[in-house]
Amino acid sequence: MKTKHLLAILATAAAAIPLATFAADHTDAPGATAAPEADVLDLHAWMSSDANNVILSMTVQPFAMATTEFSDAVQYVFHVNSSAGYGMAQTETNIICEFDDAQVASCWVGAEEFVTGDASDTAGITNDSGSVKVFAGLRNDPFFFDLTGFNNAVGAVIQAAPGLEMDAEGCPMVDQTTSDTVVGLLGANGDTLAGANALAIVVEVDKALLTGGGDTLGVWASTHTK
Amino acid sequence: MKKLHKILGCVAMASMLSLGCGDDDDTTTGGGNPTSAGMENPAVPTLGAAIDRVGRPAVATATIETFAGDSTVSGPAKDAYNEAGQSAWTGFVPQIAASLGILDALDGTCANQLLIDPAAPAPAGERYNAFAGVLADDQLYVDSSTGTCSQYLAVELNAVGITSIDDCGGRTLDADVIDITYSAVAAGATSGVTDNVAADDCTHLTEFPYLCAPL
Repeated sequence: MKTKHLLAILATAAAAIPLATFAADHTDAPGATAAPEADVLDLHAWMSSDANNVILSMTVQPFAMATTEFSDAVQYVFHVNSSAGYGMAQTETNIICEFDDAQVASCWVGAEEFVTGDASDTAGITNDSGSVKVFAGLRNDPFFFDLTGFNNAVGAVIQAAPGLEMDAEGCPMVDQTTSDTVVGLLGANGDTLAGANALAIVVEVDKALLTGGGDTLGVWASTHTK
Repeated sequence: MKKLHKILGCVAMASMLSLGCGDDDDTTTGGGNPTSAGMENPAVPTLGAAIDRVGRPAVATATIETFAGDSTVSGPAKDAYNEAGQSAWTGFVPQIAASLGILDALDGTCANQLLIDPAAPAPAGERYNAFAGVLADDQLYVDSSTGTCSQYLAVELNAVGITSIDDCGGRTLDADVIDITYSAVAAGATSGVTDNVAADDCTHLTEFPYLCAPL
């Protein structure tokens, strides 16, 4: 009986399968895992309450220690694609931050704005016009997630896959009991990232610098070899 | 659904158009505002080889060969995803769609996922392509015209007509993005499937730099 077989697997899968740890994007791929200082964990992007500023945050270095530093061989980049609306042509403005071996930050916003200095104080560093503010340093990892549960659920599905019957579009046909079991795995362990720190780059920018193509912003973060 | 297809067509067109857009990566101008020391700004650096990228949380984690069961498959696939330039992102739609099919079963029911319209089924083999197309455009979308930010994915949800709210979308520090993501892929909803972790282990700051002090 297929369902029974699957449930038996699910019951033991959590303990039996060695799984990589990954979360929002924590150590999600071999290349990033090999270079934790360039492993982008999370990206956050939102507006100040007066809608004047765009606030961007990128975290790197999973489970950072007090002594963990930004790499002087990596470029940390926020890509901001502005457009007149969702799905319309986009104009890219990059925010690029680099660090030297003394952890002095240098950040460019587009081609015109530049700010440099020790950005590890919570006041951050600000450019002459006040349109760009940057913090870079150790913070509490802002992500919250039961990643153990996710990994256990994925492991259970992988183990069960050979016995699963798919519909014509590739969706496994499982009964409610099986579904409840898998969903239960997702949320059984609490916040895996409670107590974890990360290195954060937080940038607050006058939105006029980023909205050249319109008010709708598509934002992604990346790391590059310097 | 028609509206959605129209939007997706626009997205595809936009990504083609963006190839011709200005790219700051290549800018090497020495001009710019003088710094307080009266020096010219240093030239904007040219970006080197890509290492990692993130837009929406968990997209690569949950959809790029996540269920391959073989790290020699999933590892290189995730590296390729991370290293891909924006013009190549649409190439990941098939991989994402395949994983969405598996995630759709989480709640025990197939064909109830965000952007699947039972009244207007997609052609055979394309059930998960619409949502995969949205996810492959792996960016957080922010409506910078409003300072109200309380709904993750608000820009996308508004664009496809699921919601009509005044919200900047994006991703705030407090947004429970995992529950929204689980619910969207499993049940076509924005809540209901949960990891039972509703908030961070600290209260985020209301002022810069917003993230909590380290522990």
